[in-house]
Amino acid sequence: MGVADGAVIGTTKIVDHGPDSARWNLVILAEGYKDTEMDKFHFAAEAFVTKLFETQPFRAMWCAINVHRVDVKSTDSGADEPATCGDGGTGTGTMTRTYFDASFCRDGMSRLLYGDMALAQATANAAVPGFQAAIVIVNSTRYGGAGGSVAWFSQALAADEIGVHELGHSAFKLADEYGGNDTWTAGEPPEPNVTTITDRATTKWASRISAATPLPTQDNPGCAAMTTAASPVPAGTIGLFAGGSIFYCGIYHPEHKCRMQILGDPFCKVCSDAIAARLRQHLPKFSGPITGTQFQGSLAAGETKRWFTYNWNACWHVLWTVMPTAPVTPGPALRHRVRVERASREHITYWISVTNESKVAVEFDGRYEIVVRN
Amino acid sequence: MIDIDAGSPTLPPRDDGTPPDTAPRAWLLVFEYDEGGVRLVERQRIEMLAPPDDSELTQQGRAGHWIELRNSNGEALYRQVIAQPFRVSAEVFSPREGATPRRAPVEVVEGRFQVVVPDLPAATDVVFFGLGTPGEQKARAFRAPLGTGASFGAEGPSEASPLLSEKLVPR
Repeated sequence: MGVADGAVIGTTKIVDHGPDSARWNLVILAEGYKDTEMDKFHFAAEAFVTKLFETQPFRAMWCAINVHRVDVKSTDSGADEPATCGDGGTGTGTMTRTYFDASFCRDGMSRLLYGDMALAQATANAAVPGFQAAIVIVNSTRYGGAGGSVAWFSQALAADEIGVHELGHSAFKLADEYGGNDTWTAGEPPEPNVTTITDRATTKWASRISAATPLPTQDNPGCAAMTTAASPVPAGTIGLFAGGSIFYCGIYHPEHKCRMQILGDPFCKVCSDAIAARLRQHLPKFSGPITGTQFQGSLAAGETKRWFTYNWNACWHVLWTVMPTAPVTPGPALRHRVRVERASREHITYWISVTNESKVAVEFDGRYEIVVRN
Repeated sequence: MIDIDAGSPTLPPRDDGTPPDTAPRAWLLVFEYDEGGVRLVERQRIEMLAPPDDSELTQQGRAGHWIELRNSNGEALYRQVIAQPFRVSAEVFSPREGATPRRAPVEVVEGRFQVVVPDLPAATDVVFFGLGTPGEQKARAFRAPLGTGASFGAEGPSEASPLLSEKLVPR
């Protein structure tokens, strides 16, 4: 079991927003896919990229991100599923020969799915040395996953949420926002989304807390489980809610609900800001302007036509104008209007309508100016 | 209205393929740990933008883990917070909608994690701060059943101390 049961086929950059050295790089690895199943892995990787794109603040910071897909073939499909597990769960008993040797029932927990973490990390480093985040998609429809220096999740419905949550830990230094032990009595933690400080002036996200919000906003007197009480403040209110870093009380998180507590919920504002702060430095810097002529046209007096131009990088900021070239036309000649279509996650189509308001035929250039380019 | 195909962008070439002079230089540091401690096992110079300095976070909160780069006078030049570097517990997820994950102890505490830090000309040493060895952390995290009044800080350090100090470039 292990590297003898497969091989790295190659790496494909599936989201390319510029040089890897300047961007935030996510590496997606395949586990438990046979050579003949690579299309299935490609689909799963693309689905995760789409999920990330649809998740704030990743969407807002999308141009900071590169994604690399590493095709790894295995001898068998899937992952090991021990017949019995320490927590009482059961599996099919199937044992598979796969590259990373992923298995359910790790550490005696049925849903805990992972393989050789060090090999996954080394494989990701071989693709992008110093990658910022790596995930492994495991070819199984059974729900499972795990965190760590590399995140793992299966192809079961909603298991990809494990990947997003784990990115919060591994790449953005976020703590869990749920309990597990009773009382945190250590000092103030450095993670940006948990605090022990209840003083309004000095608590970690003090500037985000309204003067009208009570502090602590929601405590947990029982301290033996996360409180199931409804939030005492409207959804989205930032305050101090008991629980975090796997302790029920003595430590607080910023909003009643957040993806670092409940998979599938949005990231709270404090977490979202922390993620955006780390991604921001990876955004493309000013590198323009770059100007050029995309098309040339001619219009009879009073005529309107529309040009469309496609596959423009969605991370570029592009301005359009039309420039009459002949003849000399005293007075205003051309009027243009630009409509913008988000044709795909990565590409823009511009629709440029041009009207000749003069009394003679006019030739012109359709010109672009790219203000920011990767 | 007539729609006219104006094609896709036809831009001047981006560059001549030469890497820019300003490519950010960094160190990729790989650490290995087991219950007894943590070791720096790999160092590699790479071109990569390192995360921003976290000194503000570590000044606010010292009950956690971070990497520090120091100069020859022992002064800190850069800090980076590391969330959960030691896998002393595993996060177990439920397929039930709206469920909160839970933590379970792992059978064997060992593993690797990596950090990318900027290649600062004056940096000579790398120091790793943590709340005790991985073994101590595991013992504290799961020493008593829930609901028995178990607490974290009472028997453990209230703030991090250096667990490892190494020369950035071995002599």
